[in-house]
Amino acid sequence: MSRMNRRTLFRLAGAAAGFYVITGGRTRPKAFALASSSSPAGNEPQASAAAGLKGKVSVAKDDTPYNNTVKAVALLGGMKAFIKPGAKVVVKPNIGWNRPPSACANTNPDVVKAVIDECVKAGAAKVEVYDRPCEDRRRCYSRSGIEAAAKAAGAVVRFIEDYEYVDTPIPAGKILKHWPVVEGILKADAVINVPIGKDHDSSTLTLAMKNLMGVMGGDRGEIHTDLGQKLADFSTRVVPTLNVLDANSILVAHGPQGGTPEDIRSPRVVVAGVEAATVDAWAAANLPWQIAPGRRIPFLAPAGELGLGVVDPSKIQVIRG
Amino acid sequence: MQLADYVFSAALVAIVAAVFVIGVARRRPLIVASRLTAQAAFLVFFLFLLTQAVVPLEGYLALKGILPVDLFVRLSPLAAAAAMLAARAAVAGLFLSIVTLVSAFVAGRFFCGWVCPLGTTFDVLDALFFKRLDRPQSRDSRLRSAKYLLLAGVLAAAVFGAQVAGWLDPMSIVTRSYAVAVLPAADRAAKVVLEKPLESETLRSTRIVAKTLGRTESVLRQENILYDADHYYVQFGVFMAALAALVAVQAYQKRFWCRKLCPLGAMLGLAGKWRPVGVRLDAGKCVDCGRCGRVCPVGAIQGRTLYPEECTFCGLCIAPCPVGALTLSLRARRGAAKADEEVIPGRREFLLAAASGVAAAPILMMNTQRRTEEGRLVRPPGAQDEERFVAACVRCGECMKACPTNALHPAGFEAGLAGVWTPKIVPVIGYCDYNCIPDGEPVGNFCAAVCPTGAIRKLTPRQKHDTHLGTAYLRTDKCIPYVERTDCSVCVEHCPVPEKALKDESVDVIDLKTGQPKKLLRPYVDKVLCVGCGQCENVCPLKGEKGIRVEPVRSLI
Repeated sequence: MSRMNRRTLFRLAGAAAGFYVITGGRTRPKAFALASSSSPAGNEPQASAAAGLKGKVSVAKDDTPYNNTVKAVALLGGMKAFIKPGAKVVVKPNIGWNRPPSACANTNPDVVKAVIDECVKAGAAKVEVYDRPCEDRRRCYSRSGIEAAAKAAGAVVRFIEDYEYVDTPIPAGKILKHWPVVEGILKADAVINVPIGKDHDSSTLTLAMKNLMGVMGGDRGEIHTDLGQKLADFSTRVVPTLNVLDANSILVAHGPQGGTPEDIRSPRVVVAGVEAATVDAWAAANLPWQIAPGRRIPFLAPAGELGLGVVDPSKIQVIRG
Repeated sequence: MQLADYVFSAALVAIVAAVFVIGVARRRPLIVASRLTAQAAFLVFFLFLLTQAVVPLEGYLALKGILPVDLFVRLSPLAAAAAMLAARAAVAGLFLSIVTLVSAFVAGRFFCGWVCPLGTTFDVLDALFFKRLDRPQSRDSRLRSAKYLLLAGVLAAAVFGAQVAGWLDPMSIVTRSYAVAVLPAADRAAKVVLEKPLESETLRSTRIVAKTLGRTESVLRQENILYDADHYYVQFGVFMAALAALVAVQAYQKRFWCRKLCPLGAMLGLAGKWRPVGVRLDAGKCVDCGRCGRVCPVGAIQGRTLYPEECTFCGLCIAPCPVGALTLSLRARRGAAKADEEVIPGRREFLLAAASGVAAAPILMMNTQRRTEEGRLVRPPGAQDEERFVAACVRCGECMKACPTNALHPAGFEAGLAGVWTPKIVPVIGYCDYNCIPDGEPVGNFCAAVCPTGAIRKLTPRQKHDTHLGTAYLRTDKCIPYVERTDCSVCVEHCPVPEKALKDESVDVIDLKTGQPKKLLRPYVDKVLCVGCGQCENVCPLKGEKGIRVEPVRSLI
């Protein structure tokens, strides 16, 4: 057995120093690293599609959740209006809870599959599907049926790792000035937000805007104070290319995680739009919720004030199909 | 079964085969090479089973779900006897330990030398750290007797209801040491190696590096070698220190635990005293050179006597003998030389030890903590009958490993002395998953599925939903809406009960910042519906003391 001598010591020290340098030298957690300044201010959808579709939503009713989804997107010009060929797309469903599809706690897997298929048809080079669940992520992905459906459609289904969150400034935010966001969302060519509509105890309803919490890092518990304003603030920075709201079957009571079969209603529609706030405003006013009298929806008014969409349902243009 | 599973299984087999090949290549006698291979195989198998104690994804009946992950604990006749005596119930799965007893009647402490993963752990670390130490064998038969007395004490105490075999049974020790200390530590170390480089922007953008590291980690997580959700345990340090102490004492004497303290070894030694199969020392041929005695890892050879109740059948003594006095024999009764000292204690000592065990039983069962703040004890679902549970639990730690939400941790003194290291729920670290296993499966609580003694009763998913572990109580001196008059309700959001055991009431308050009246949403607990799972306590955004706490009471309605 060779004894420790100076040469070995220097070699060990050199290896340690090399490792330190290669791994970036810093020991600060990644969440505190600032987003690189080359990121755009938001994921601007194709300028032409966005301009023409502000203040509008499509509401599609066909025979199956899959076809409802295809139709809802088609009514807005088809996925090719939102995705260039060769695009790297992120599809962001709600995979928050360890519940089966019948519980309506997560997005309907058929809706997710339809969105992915449309992206592929429009020429997307790569479609990634992920979310940051509220419970054990492996079982949420599996039990929701979304992992299997998305993989069958050819998407890359993966988990979000701790080092992927970058602290992102939110210049237009009134209360929320910065928050860790998944780096991939900021760098993707297109982001398709695919929420399910549910009753929610804190925010009254969870629709498209609330679904964006799935790309938030950090301690999301802190978001729940002044939740409405903070959701609106966040939506100024993370702007999906397209929002596709699953309203085939919705949870109207005891959401977002509980719910008995009696709490489920089935409007059997899919609502789509380029502005999450507009989609939410329409859905809040037109779906069969059981909102207690006096309960507001806390994120709509702040969203309207920040210019994120049309939050007066009577002023929303609806493209039906 | 996917490709990764096959590759992984092949890798395990290859490791074991390699041990055999290396043993033969180094010219070990066949018996020694076989024994080394067996030790490797059983250790690898033990670690494999332990790492696979994970809730299966595709339903309870998926392949990984029906693996007998608690197999090794059930192989111990000591744990089996003590648990069944103390709980006064027969448990079918524990009768597997008869195999071990039979092996002892036939071949003595064969289990200790060839199977026991704790023994193998000792041998591996001994070879790594202590090989060159000069450790003379001493006679020390009196100290050696200690393990027999511990055996008597443990069994006697169990008859009187205080079951502490779990502290001393090597299968329990090895399972919980790996589950609570070694595996989490190894997991953390591996993740640092695989993840730290990816914190650097440069390395993350280098495709080959990112892909290799990412792929390796993802495969290891998929095969359950690494935890997907990090698991860490209360008393991690205690368990690490205990294992380290057992290993470190080998610097003084090889296999110290096995020689002096292991009550299972004592039980198997007693059974194996007249074993037919084993190593036989022919006193007629022996020239008293002492070479065999020096290599024996358990000091079973003293002078010209080989003690069959100590011999672990390792085979190391056979080759060094210059006159071939040591042989493997199918008629290995000790007829050779009369031993000068008996290792097995006499009747008087046994009775004294048993009496001590009986006397200790009520002291062990005392629980002075029960009515105090420190006495908060929330048990896993299926373990609500406290007395029966503590009698049957062998503190093996399988449930702690298997719990998908990292809710189960070793208790301190909350359950009395006898309850130390039995599992309890620590909601701040992990909650009991209401939807642990899907409806329609035969067992709803995965902890019960892996419990070797049935201490945690199996419940159907429906029964589990109806089992109250405790009740959540709001700490209105801490809860954010009560104290700061701002909305929160994260607890309400996460409550998994379908009809929601946590609800919001809308109250009129004065905003503390603006002084204006406003409506505030404040949570309250529906005590009838609350099952005490602790998910609310777990997600409360407060750090330190939470705004809602599960108390181990069933609310009186």
